[in-house]
Amino acid sequence: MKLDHALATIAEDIRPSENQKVFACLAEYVFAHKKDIKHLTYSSIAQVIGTQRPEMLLQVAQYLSGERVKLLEMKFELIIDDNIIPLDDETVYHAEITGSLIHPDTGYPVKDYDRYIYPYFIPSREIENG
Amino acid sequence: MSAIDFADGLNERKISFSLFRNALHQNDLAASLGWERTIDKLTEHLNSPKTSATYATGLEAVYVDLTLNGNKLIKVFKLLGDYDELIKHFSMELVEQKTIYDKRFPLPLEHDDLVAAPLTLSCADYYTTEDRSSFVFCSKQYVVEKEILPAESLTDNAQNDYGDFDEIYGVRKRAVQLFDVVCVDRESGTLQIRMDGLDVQKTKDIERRLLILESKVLQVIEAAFDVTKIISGAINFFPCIKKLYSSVDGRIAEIGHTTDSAGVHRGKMRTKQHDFRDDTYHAGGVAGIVELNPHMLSKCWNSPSRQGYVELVIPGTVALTSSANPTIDTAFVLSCASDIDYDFVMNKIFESMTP
Repeated sequence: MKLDHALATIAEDIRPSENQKVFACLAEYVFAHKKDIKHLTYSSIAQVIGTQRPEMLLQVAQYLSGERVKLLEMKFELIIDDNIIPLDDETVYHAEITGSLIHPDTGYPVKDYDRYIYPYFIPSREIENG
Repeated sequence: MSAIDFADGLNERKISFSLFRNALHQNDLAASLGWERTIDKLTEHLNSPKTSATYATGLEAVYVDLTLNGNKLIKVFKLLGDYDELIKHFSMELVEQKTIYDKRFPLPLEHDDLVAAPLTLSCADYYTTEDRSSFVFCSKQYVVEKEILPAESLTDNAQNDYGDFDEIYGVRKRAVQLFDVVCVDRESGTLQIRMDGLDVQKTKDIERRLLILESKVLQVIEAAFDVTKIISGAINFFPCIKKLYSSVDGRIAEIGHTTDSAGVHRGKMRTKQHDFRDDTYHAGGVAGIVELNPHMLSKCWNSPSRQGYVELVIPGTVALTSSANPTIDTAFVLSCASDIDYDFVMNKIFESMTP
Protein backbone atom coordinates (compact mmCIF):
# COMPACT_ATOMS: atom_id res chain seq x y z
CA MET A 1 0.00 0.00 0.00
CA LYS A 2 1.35 3.39 -1.03
CA LEU A 3 0.25 6.75 0.42
CA ASP A 4 -1.18 7.95 -2.93
CA HIS A 5 -3.31 4.87 -3.19
CA ALA A 6 -4.49 5.20 0.44
CA LEU A 7 -5.43 8.88 -0.08
CA ALA A 8 -7.30 8.05 -3.31
CA THR A 9 -9.26 5.30 -1.53
CA ILE A 10 -10.08 7.69 1.34
CA ALA A 11 -11.32 10.31 -1.17
CA GLU A 12 -13.51 7.67 -2.79
CA ASP A 13 -14.95 6.21 0.44
CA ILE A 14 -15.33 9.01 2.98
CA ARG A 15 -18.47 11.15 2.97
CA PRO A 16 -19.13 13.95 3.73
CA SER A 17 -16.03 15.04 1.85
CA GLU A 18 -15.02 17.59 4.53
CA ASN A 19 -14.19 14.60 6.78
CA GLN A 20 -11.67 13.26 4.26
CA LYS A 21 -8.88 15.52 5.50
CA VAL A 22 -9.18 14.03 9.03
CA PHE A 23 -8.71 10.49 7.68
CA ALA A 24 -5.96 11.67 5.31
CA CYS A 25 -4.19 13.42 8.18
CA LEU A 26 -3.80 10.16 10.13
CA ALA A 27 -2.83 8.24 6.96
CA GLU A 28 -0.10 10.76 6.20
CA TYR A 29 1.14 10.68 9.78
CA VAL A 30 1.36 6.88 9.79
CA PHE A 31 3.27 6.85 6.49
CA ALA A 32 5.64 9.60 7.63
CA HIS A 33 6.47 7.90 10.94
CA LYS A 34 5.99 4.21 10.18
CA LYS A 35 9.49 3.31 11.39
CA ASP A 36 9.03 5.06 14.74
CA ILE A 37 5.42 4.10 15.51
CA LYS A 38 5.26 1.07 17.75
CA HIS A 39 2.16 1.92 19.75
CA LEU A 40 -0.68 4.30 18.84
CA THR A 41 -3.46 4.77 21.39
CA TYR A 42 -6.80 6.45 20.88
CA SER A 43 -5.50 9.49 22.73
CA SER A 44 -2.44 9.80 20.50
CA ILE A 45 -4.65 9.42 17.40
CA ALA A 46 -6.93 12.15 18.81
CA GLN A 47 -3.94 14.49 19.03
CA VAL A 48 -2.81 13.68 15.49
CA ILE A 49 -6.22 14.30 13.91
CA GLY A 50 -7.13 17.13 16.28
CA THR A 51 -10.46 15.84 17.53
CA GLN A 52 -11.88 14.84 20.89
CA ARG A 53 -15.12 13.46 19.43
CA PRO A 54 -15.21 9.74 20.34
CA GLU A 55 -17.40 8.73 17.38
CA MET A 56 -15.01 10.39 14.90
CA LEU A 57 -12.01 8.83 16.63
CA LEU A 58 -13.53 5.34 16.44
CA GLN A 59 -14.58 5.86 12.83
CA VAL A 60 -11.08 6.94 11.73
CA ALA A 61 -9.28 4.15 13.64
CA GLN A 62 -11.74 1.52 12.43
CA TYR A 63 -11.47 2.64 8.79
CA LEU A 64 -7.68 2.83 8.77
CA SER A 65 -7.42 -0.68 10.22
CA GLY A 66 -10.17 -2.03 7.95
CA GLU A 67 -9.79 -4.01 4.74
CA ARG A 68 -10.09 -1.01 2.36
CA VAL A 69 -6.77 0.61 3.28
CA LYS A 70 -5.40 -1.52 6.14
CA LEU A 71 -2.77 0.98 7.25
CA LEU A 72 -3.08 0.02 10.92
CA GLU A 73 -3.30 -3.24 12.81
CA MET A 74 -5.33 -3.39 15.99
CA LYS A 75 -3.75 -5.12 19.00
CA PHE A 76 -4.68 -5.52 22.65
CA GLU A 77 -2.85 -5.20 25.93
CA LEU A 78 -3.71 -5.79 29.55
CA ILE A 79 -3.01 -2.88 31.90
CA ILE A 80 -3.25 -3.73 35.60
CA ASP A 81 -1.91 -1.01 37.89
CA ASP A 82 1.30 0.01 36.10
CA ASN A 83 1.94 -3.37 34.54
CA ILE A 84 1.42 -3.54 30.81
CA ILE A 85 1.19 -7.02 29.30
CA PRO A 86 0.83 -7.44 25.53
CA LEU A 87 -1.77 -10.02 24.52
CA ASP A 88 -1.21 -12.34 21.59
CA ASP A 89 -3.99 -13.17 19.12
CA GLU A 90 -4.53 -16.65 20.61
CA THR A 91 -5.16 -15.24 24.10
CA VAL A 92 -7.59 -12.61 22.78
CA TYR A 93 -9.42 -15.16 20.59
CA HIS A 94 -9.75 -17.55 23.56
CA ALA A 95 -11.20 -14.73 25.69
CA GLU A 96 -13.72 -13.84 22.97
CA ILE A 97 -14.87 -17.45 22.61
CA THR A 98 -14.92 -18.49 26.28
CA GLY A 99 -15.41 -15.17 28.10
CA SER A 100 -12.30 -15.95 30.17
CA LEU A 101 -9.00 -14.14 29.65
CA ILE A 102 -5.93 -16.05 30.82
CA HIS A 103 -3.20 -13.77 32.16
CA PRO A 104 -0.08 -14.58 30.07
CA ASP A 105 2.27 -14.28 33.08
CA THR A 106 0.29 -15.80 35.96
CA GLY A 107 -1.53 -18.40 33.87
CA TYR A 108 -4.80 -17.73 35.75
CA PRO A 109 -8.05 -16.11 34.52
CA VAL A 110 -8.25 -12.33 35.04
CA LYS A 111 -11.38 -11.38 36.98
CA ASP A 112 -13.47 -8.70 35.20
CA TYR A 113 -10.87 -8.56 32.45
CA ASP A 114 -12.95 -6.08 30.42
CA ARG A 115 -11.83 -3.41 32.88
CA TYR A 116 -8.17 -3.99 32.10
CA ILE A 117 -7.99 -4.71 28.38
CA TYR A 118 -7.10 -1.85 26.03
CA PRO A 119 -6.69 -1.62 22.26
CA TYR A 120 -3.77 0.02 20.48
CA PHE A 121 -2.60 0.26 16.90
CA ILE A 122 0.64 -0.44 15.05
CA PRO A 123 1.46 0.12 11.37
CA SER A 124 0.23 -2.88 9.37
CA ARG A 125 2.53 -5.23 7.47
CA GLU A 126 1.12 -3.86 4.21
CA ILE A 127 2.31 -0.32 4.99
CA GLU A 128 5.68 -1.52 6.30
CA ASN A 129 6.28 -3.50 3.12
CA GLY A 130 4.93 -0.65 0.97
CA MET B 1 5.35 -39.39 43.18
CA SER B 2 3.80 -38.92 39.74
CA ALA B 3 5.42 -36.87 36.97
CA ILE B 4 2.50 -34.41 36.91
CA ASP B 5 3.48 -33.51 40.50
CA PHE B 6 6.41 -31.58 38.99
CA ALA B 7 3.99 -29.29 37.11
CA ASP B 8 1.69 -29.03 40.15
CA GLY B 9 4.72 -28.27 42.33
CA LEU B 10 5.75 -25.34 40.11
CA ASN B 11 2.17 -24.05 40.17
CA GLU B 12 2.09 -24.28 44.00
CA ARG B 13 5.38 -22.40 44.15
CA LYS B 14 3.81 -19.59 42.06
CA ILE B 15 6.43 -19.90 39.34
CA SER B 16 5.59 -17.52 36.50
CA PHE B 17 3.43 -19.31 33.94
CA SER B 18 5.17 -17.70 30.97
CA LEU B 19 8.48 -19.05 32.29
CA PHE B 20 6.99 -22.54 32.75
CA ARG B 21 5.63 -22.45 29.18
CA ASN B 22 9.04 -21.40 27.81
CA ALA B 23 10.70 -24.24 29.74
CA LEU B 24 8.18 -26.73 28.33
CA HIS B 25 8.84 -25.52 24.79
CA GLN B 26 12.62 -25.66 25.34
CA ASN B 27 12.18 -29.32 26.25
CA ASP B 28 9.86 -29.99 23.27
CA LEU B 29 6.86 -30.53 25.56
CA ALA B 30 3.37 -29.26 24.74
CA ALA B 31 1.83 -26.24 26.50
CA SER B 32 -1.50 -24.45 26.32
CA LEU B 33 -3.12 -21.27 27.63
CA GLY B 34 -2.88 -21.04 31.43
CA TRP B 35 -2.02 -23.56 34.16
CA GLU B 36 -5.27 -25.50 34.05
CA ARG B 37 -5.31 -26.29 30.33
CA THR B 38 -1.55 -26.92 30.28
CA ILE B 39 -1.74 -29.41 33.17
CA ASP B 40 -4.65 -31.16 31.39
CA LYS B 41 -2.57 -31.40 28.24
CA LEU B 42 0.49 -32.71 30.09
CA THR B 43 -1.67 -35.31 31.89
CA GLU B 44 -2.97 -36.50 28.50
CA HIS B 45 0.59 -36.98 27.23
CA LEU B 46 1.63 -38.71 30.46
CA ASN B 47 -1.27 -41.14 30.06
CA SER B 48 -0.41 -41.97 26.47
CA PRO B 49 1.99 -44.93 26.11
CA LYS B 50 3.64 -43.19 23.12
CA THR B 51 4.65 -40.02 24.98
CA SER B 52 4.56 -41.02 28.65
CA ALA B 53 8.30 -41.67 29.13
CA THR B 54 9.40 -38.53 27.24
CA TYR B 55 7.00 -36.34 29.22
CA ALA B 56 7.96 -37.86 32.59
CA THR B 57 11.68 -37.21 31.97
CA GLY B 58 11.00 -33.82 30.41
CA LEU B 59 8.82 -32.58 33.28
CA GLU B 60 11.44 -33.49 35.87
CA ALA B 61 14.08 -31.65 33.82
CA VAL B 62 11.80 -28.59 33.60
CA TYR B 63 11.23 -28.69 37.37
CA VAL B 64 14.95 -28.85 38.18
CA ASP B 65 15.79 -26.17 35.59
CA LEU B 66 13.23 -23.79 37.07
CA THR B 67 14.44 -24.53 40.60
CA LEU B 68 18.08 -23.77 39.79
CA ASN B 69 17.38 -20.92 37.37
CA GLY B 70 14.00 -19.19 36.81
CA ASN B 71 13.75 -15.73 38.38
CA LYS B 72 16.60 -15.14 40.86
CA LEU B 73 18.16 -12.35 42.86
CA ILE B 74 21.88 -13.06 42.65
CA LYS B 75 25.08 -12.22 44.47
CA VAL B 76 28.34 -13.42 42.90
CA PHE B 77 31.80 -13.93 44.37
CA LYS B 78 35.02 -14.65 42.49
CA LEU B 79 36.59 -17.95 43.58
CA LEU B 80 40.33 -18.05 44.06
CA GLY B 81 41.04 -21.53 45.33
CA ASP B 82 40.53 -25.21 44.66
CA TYR B 83 36.93 -25.75 43.53
CA ASP B 84 36.96 -29.53 44.07
CA GLU B 85 38.01 -29.19 47.70
CA LEU B 86 35.36 -26.53 48.27
CA ILE B 87 32.61 -28.65 46.69
CA LYS B 88 33.68 -31.68 48.74
CA HIS B 89 33.62 -29.58 51.90
CA PHE B 90 30.19 -28.11 51.04
CA SER B 91 28.75 -31.56 50.34
CA MET B 92 29.81 -32.67 53.82
CA GLU B 93 29.14 -29.51 55.82
CA LEU B 94 26.34 -27.63 54.03
CA VAL B 95 24.11 -30.55 53.05
CA GLU B 96 22.12 -31.72 56.06
CA GLN B 97 21.75 -35.44 56.69
CA LYS B 98 18.09 -35.24 57.53
CA THR B 99 15.69 -32.37 56.91
CA ILE B 100 11.92 -32.01 57.04
CA TYR B 101 12.05 -31.28 53.29
CA ASP B 102 13.45 -34.74 52.40
CA LYS B 103 9.94 -36.17 52.44
CA ARG B 104 9.08 -34.68 49.05
CA PHE B 105 12.29 -33.05 47.78
CA PRO B 106 12.70 -31.72 45.10
CA LEU B 107 8.94 -31.05 45.33
CA PRO B 108 7.58 -28.62 47.92
CA LEU B 109 6.10 -30.04 51.13
CA GLU B 110 2.34 -30.41 51.37
CA HIS B 111 0.54 -27.63 53.24
CA ASP B 112 0.34 -29.12 56.77
CA ASP B 113 3.94 -30.36 56.73
CA LEU B 114 5.14 -26.99 55.44
CA VAL B 115 3.30 -25.07 58.15
CA ALA B 116 5.05 -27.30 60.71
CA ALA B 117 8.49 -26.63 59.16
CA PRO B 118 10.90 -24.24 60.94
CA LEU B 119 11.72 -20.82 59.49
CA THR B 120 15.41 -21.70 59.05
CA LEU B 121 17.25 -22.49 55.82
CA SER B 122 18.09 -26.16 55.27
CA CYS B 123 20.30 -27.52 52.50
CA ALA B 124 18.28 -30.55 51.40
CA ASP B 125 20.42 -31.78 48.51
CA TYR B 126 22.75 -30.78 45.69
CA TYR B 127 23.08 -31.33 41.96
CA THR B 128 26.46 -31.80 40.30
CA THR B 129 27.41 -31.58 36.64
CA GLU B 130 30.81 -31.28 35.00
CA ASP B 131 30.64 -27.46 35.13
CA ARG B 132 28.98 -26.77 38.48
CA SER B 133 27.60 -27.98 41.79
CA SER B 134 24.36 -26.44 43.01
CA PHE B 135 23.34 -26.72 46.67
CA VAL B 136 19.60 -26.24 47.22
CA PHE B 137 18.44 -24.55 50.43
CA CYS B 138 14.77 -24.97 51.31
CA SER B 139 12.90 -22.70 53.67
CA LYS B 140 9.39 -21.87 54.72
CA GLN B 141 8.39 -18.26 54.15
CA TYR B 142 5.08 -16.51 54.63
CA VAL B 143 3.55 -14.39 51.90
CA VAL B 144 0.67 -12.00 52.48
CA GLU B 145 -2.18 -12.28 49.99
CA LYS B 146 -5.09 -9.85 49.74
CA GLU B 147 -8.37 -10.72 48.05
CA ILE B 148 -11.63 -8.85 47.46
CA LEU B 149 -14.48 -10.75 49.17
CA PRO B 150 -18.10 -10.75 47.96
CA ALA B 151 -20.32 -8.17 49.68
CA GLU B 152 -22.51 -11.00 51.07
CA SER B 153 -19.59 -12.37 53.08
CA LEU B 154 -20.25 -9.79 55.81
CA THR B 155 -22.78 -11.12 58.31
CA ASP B 156 -25.78 -9.04 59.40
CA ASN B 157 -24.22 -8.66 62.85
CA ALA B 158 -20.99 -7.30 61.38
CA GLN B 159 -22.97 -4.92 59.18
CA ASN B 160 -24.93 -3.71 62.19
CA ASP B 161 -21.73 -3.19 64.18
CA TYR B 162 -19.56 -1.58 61.49
CA GLY B 163 -21.99 -0.30 58.82
CA ASP B 164 -21.89 -0.90 55.05
CA PHE B 165 -18.69 -1.19 53.02
CA ASP B 166 -18.18 -0.64 49.29
CA GLU B 167 -15.40 -3.24 49.17
CA ILE B 168 -14.41 -6.00 51.61
CA TYR B 169 -10.90 -7.47 51.62
CA GLY B 170 -9.60 -10.70 53.11
CA VAL B 171 -5.91 -10.91 54.08
CA ARG B 172 -4.26 -14.31 54.22
CA LYS B 173 -0.74 -15.26 55.35
CA ARG B 174 0.21 -18.27 53.24
CA ALA B 175 3.22 -20.51 53.79
CA VAL B 176 5.35 -21.11 50.69
CA GLN B 177 8.48 -23.17 50.26
CA LEU B 178 11.37 -21.37 48.62
CA PHE B 179 14.39 -22.91 46.97
CA ASP B 180 17.56 -20.80 47.22
CA VAL B 181 20.69 -22.05 45.50
CA VAL B 182 24.40 -21.78 46.28
CA CYS B 183 26.31 -22.66 43.15
CA VAL B 184 30.03 -23.33 42.71
CA ASP B 185 30.58 -22.65 39.01
CA ARG B 186 33.86 -24.08 37.73
CA GLU B 187 33.55 -22.56 34.26
CA SER B 188 33.31 -18.94 35.40
CA GLY B 189 35.28 -19.52 38.62
CA THR B 190 32.52 -18.01 40.73
CA LEU B 191 30.39 -18.78 43.75
CA GLN B 192 26.86 -17.66 43.03
CA ILE B 193 24.04 -17.23 45.51
CA ARG B 194 20.73 -17.38 43.67
CA MET B 195 17.77 -16.33 45.80
CA ASP B 196 14.27 -17.60 45.05
CA GLY B 197 10.92 -15.92 45.75
CA LEU B 198 10.89 -12.89 43.43
CA ASP B 199 7.37 -13.82 42.31
CA VAL B 200 5.97 -13.95 45.86
CA GLN B 201 8.14 -11.85 48.19
CA LYS B 202 9.36 -8.28 48.49
CA THR B 203 13.00 -7.70 47.53
CA LYS B 204 13.77 -6.50 51.06
CA ASP B 205 12.60 -9.83 52.54
CA ILE B 206 14.71 -11.75 50.03
CA GLU B 207 17.77 -9.62 50.79
CA ARG B 208 17.31 -10.32 54.49
CA ARG B 209 17.36 -14.07 53.78
CA LEU B 210 20.37 -13.57 51.49
CA LEU B 211 22.36 -12.12 54.41
CA ILE B 212 21.59 -15.20 56.51
CA LEU B 213 22.51 -17.61 53.71
CA GLU B 214 25.69 -15.70 52.83
CA SER B 215 26.85 -15.73 56.44
CA LYS B 216 26.07 -19.46 56.72
CA VAL B 217 28.17 -20.21 53.61
CA LEU B 218 31.06 -18.02 54.78
CA GLN B 219 31.06 -19.70 58.19
CA VAL B 220 31.30 -23.12 56.56
CA ILE B 221 34.21 -21.92 54.38
CA GLU B 222 35.97 -20.31 57.36
CA ALA B 223 35.72 -23.53 59.35
CA ALA B 224 38.08 -25.31 56.96
CA PHE B 225 39.90 -22.75 54.83
CA ASP B 226 41.56 -19.37 54.90
CA VAL B 227 38.66 -17.40 53.38
CA THR B 228 40.94 -14.85 51.72
CA LYS B 229 42.53 -17.65 49.68
CA ILE B 230 39.18 -19.13 48.60
CA ILE B 231 36.92 -16.24 47.77
CA SER B 232 37.19 -12.54 46.95
CA GLY B 233 34.54 -9.87 47.62
CA ALA B 234 31.20 -9.77 45.88
CA ILE B 235 31.20 -8.61 42.27
CA ASN B 236 30.18 -4.97 41.81
CA PHE B 237 27.60 -4.74 39.03
CA PHE B 238 27.57 -0.92 38.88
CA PRO B 239 30.35 -0.56 36.26
CA CYS B 240 28.51 -3.05 34.02
CA ILE B 241 25.55 -0.69 33.52
CA LYS B 242 27.24 1.70 31.13
CA LYS B 243 28.78 -1.05 29.00
CA LEU B 244 25.52 -2.99 28.81
CA TYR B 245 23.72 0.18 27.70
CA SER B 246 26.21 0.91 24.96
CA SER B 247 26.56 -2.70 23.67
CA VAL B 248 24.26 -2.85 20.67
CA ASP B 249 23.07 -6.41 21.31
CA GLY B 250 19.76 -7.09 23.07
CA ARG B 251 17.14 -4.53 24.09
CA ILE B 252 17.23 -1.96 26.88
CA ALA B 253 13.98 -2.50 28.75
CA GLU B 254 14.49 0.25 31.32
CA ILE B 255 17.12 2.76 32.36
CA GLY B 256 17.47 5.26 35.20
CA HIS B 257 19.98 8.06 34.71
CA THR B 258 20.86 11.60 35.65
CA THR B 259 22.20 14.48 33.57
CA ASP B 260 24.65 17.30 34.26
CA SER B 261 21.77 19.76 33.82
CA ALA B 262 20.30 18.30 37.06
CA GLY B 263 17.72 16.07 35.35
CA VAL B 264 16.72 12.74 36.89
CA HIS B 265 15.20 10.34 34.37
CA ARG B 266 13.75 6.86 34.42
CA GLY B 267 12.35 5.46 31.21
CA LYS B 268 11.13 2.22 29.74
CA MET B 269 9.18 0.88 26.80
CA ARG B 270 5.63 -0.43 27.19
CA THR B 271 6.86 -3.97 26.61
CA LYS B 272 10.18 -5.77 26.68
CA GLN B 273 9.89 -6.54 22.98
CA HIS B 274 11.11 -3.02 22.19
CA ASP B 275 14.48 -1.34 22.74
CA PHE B 276 14.33 1.88 24.76
CA ARG B 277 17.33 3.17 22.83
CA ASP B 278 15.00 3.34 19.78
CA ASP B 279 12.48 5.55 21.59
CA THR B 280 12.51 8.82 19.64
CA TYR B 281 12.17 10.95 22.77
CA HIS B 282 15.04 9.17 24.58
CA ALA B 283 17.31 9.11 21.51
CA GLY B 284 16.78 12.87 21.04
CA GLY B 285 17.72 13.48 24.67
CA VAL B 286 20.83 11.30 24.49
CA ALA B 287 21.98 13.12 21.34
CA GLY B 288 21.80 16.43 23.21
CA ILE B 289 23.98 15.52 26.20
CA VAL B 290 27.66 14.68 26.62
CA GLU B 291 27.25 11.71 28.96
CA LEU B 292 24.38 9.60 30.17
CA ASN B 293 25.04 8.97 33.86
CA PRO B 294 23.10 5.74 34.50
CA HIS B 295 22.37 4.22 37.91
CA MET B 296 20.03 1.34 37.00
CA LEU B 297 19.36 -0.78 33.95
CA SER B 298 17.23 -3.63 32.72
CA LYS B 299 18.29 -5.38 29.54
CA CYS B 300 16.64 -8.24 27.61
CA TRP B 301 17.87 -10.65 24.99
CA ASN B 302 16.02 -13.26 23.00
CA SER B 303 16.58 -16.57 24.75
CA PRO B 304 19.48 -18.51 23.18
CA SER B 305 17.06 -21.46 23.19
CA ARG B 306 14.73 -19.35 21.00
CA GLN B 307 11.79 -19.52 23.43
CA GLY B 308 10.88 -16.20 25.03
CA TYR B 309 13.44 -13.74 26.34
CA VAL B 310 15.89 -13.53 29.25
CA GLU B 311 16.40 -10.42 31.37
CA LEU B 312 19.07 -8.86 33.56
CA VAL B 313 18.17 -6.09 35.99
CA ILE B 314 20.90 -4.14 37.77
CA PRO B 315 18.98 -2.16 40.36
CA GLY B 316 20.29 1.13 41.67
CA THR B 317 19.21 4.46 43.08
CA VAL B 318 20.02 8.06 42.19
CA ALA B 319 22.17 8.27 45.33
CA LEU B 320 24.71 5.92 43.70
CA THR B 321 25.66 8.49 41.08
CA SER B 322 26.62 10.89 43.88
CA SER B 323 28.86 8.31 45.54
CA ALA B 324 32.64 8.21 45.07
CA ASN B 325 32.53 4.42 45.08
CA PRO B 326 29.16 3.32 43.68
CA THR B 327 28.51 -0.33 44.47
CA ILE B 328 25.66 -2.66 43.51
CA ASP B 329 26.33 -6.21 44.69
CA THR B 330 23.01 -7.84 43.83
CA ALA B 331 21.22 -8.16 40.49
CA PHE B 332 18.15 -9.92 39.11
CA VAL B 333 18.54 -12.64 36.53
CA LEU B 334 15.05 -13.24 35.20
CA SER B 335 13.07 -15.52 32.88
CA CYS B 336 15.78 -18.17 32.58
CA ALA B 337 14.10 -21.45 31.69
CA SER B 338 17.34 -23.47 31.58
CA ASP B 339 21.07 -23.49 32.38
CA ILE B 340 21.66 -22.30 28.81
CA ASP B 341 19.51 -19.20 29.41
CA TYR B 342 21.10 -18.50 32.80
CA ASP B 343 24.68 -18.95 31.54
CA PHE B 344 23.90 -16.65 28.62
CA VAL B 345 22.92 -13.81 31.00
CA MET B 346 25.90 -14.46 33.29
CA ASN B 347 28.23 -14.31 30.28
CA LYS B 348 26.73 -10.95 29.36
CA ILE B 349 27.59 -9.73 32.88
CA PHE B 350 31.15 -11.09 32.69
CA GLU B 351 31.66 -9.59 29.19
CA SER B 352 30.53 -6.20 30.47
CA MET B 353 33.11 -6.36 33.27
CA THR B 354 36.07 -6.53 30.91
CA PRO B 355 37.49 -3.11 29.99
